[in-house]
Amino acid sequence: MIPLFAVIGFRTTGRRTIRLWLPLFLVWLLLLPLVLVLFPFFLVGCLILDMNAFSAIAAGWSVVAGLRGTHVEINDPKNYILLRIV
Amino acid sequence: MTENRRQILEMLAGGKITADEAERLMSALYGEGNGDSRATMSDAPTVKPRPKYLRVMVHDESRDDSPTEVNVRIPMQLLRAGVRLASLIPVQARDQVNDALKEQGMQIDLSQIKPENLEELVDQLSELTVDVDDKHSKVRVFCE
Repeated sequence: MIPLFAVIGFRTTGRRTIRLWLPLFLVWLLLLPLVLVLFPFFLVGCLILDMNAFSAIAAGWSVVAGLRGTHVEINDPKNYILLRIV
Repeated sequence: MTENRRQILEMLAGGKITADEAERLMSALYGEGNGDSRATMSDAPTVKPRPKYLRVMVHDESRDDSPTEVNVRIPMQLLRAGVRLASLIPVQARDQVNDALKEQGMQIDLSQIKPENLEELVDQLSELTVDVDDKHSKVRVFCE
């Protein structure tokens, strides 16, 4: 299943930590028309590069689905960065 | 009955070892304290759960003020997907990559790497543990 939310965290200059929940499902919905428009170009590209389009789609999909569970957190005295994909 | 178990029982029957020693050997072979001894003594191999994440943890105290912490968790599924993506590299690009690798002294032919080999490679990562202990810093890479 593709990730539905992303949490982005950072520390402001006032030492306050802010965490933002980003609804990725809205991003996917917004990207869907763009994907449909670009799909013929993608197929042509696959033909030119002699690549299996279905394998490429499957691989791309598994990369997006595999992002779920990613957690990157860096906590420094000066900086704080968090990226969590749910 | 496994070969090891048969040998222990034969040694016990032959009077080469005592019952206590046989019990200790059995415990060492099949693991002790697992609750159900019948389950541990069965001939079925134990299945190790597949790891879900690759973890990288860094703790650095080289600075005076406060420590730096890095905590990264990468899903194994993402590694597998990345590996699958790598197998889609077009032939022309693959040749260029092979040439670049040769220039760096690495005799690797990407066309010889099959998706199942890469899958096996990712599976073997479950055994990976890297521990770096320094005076001021600690790095741990492991799978969980």
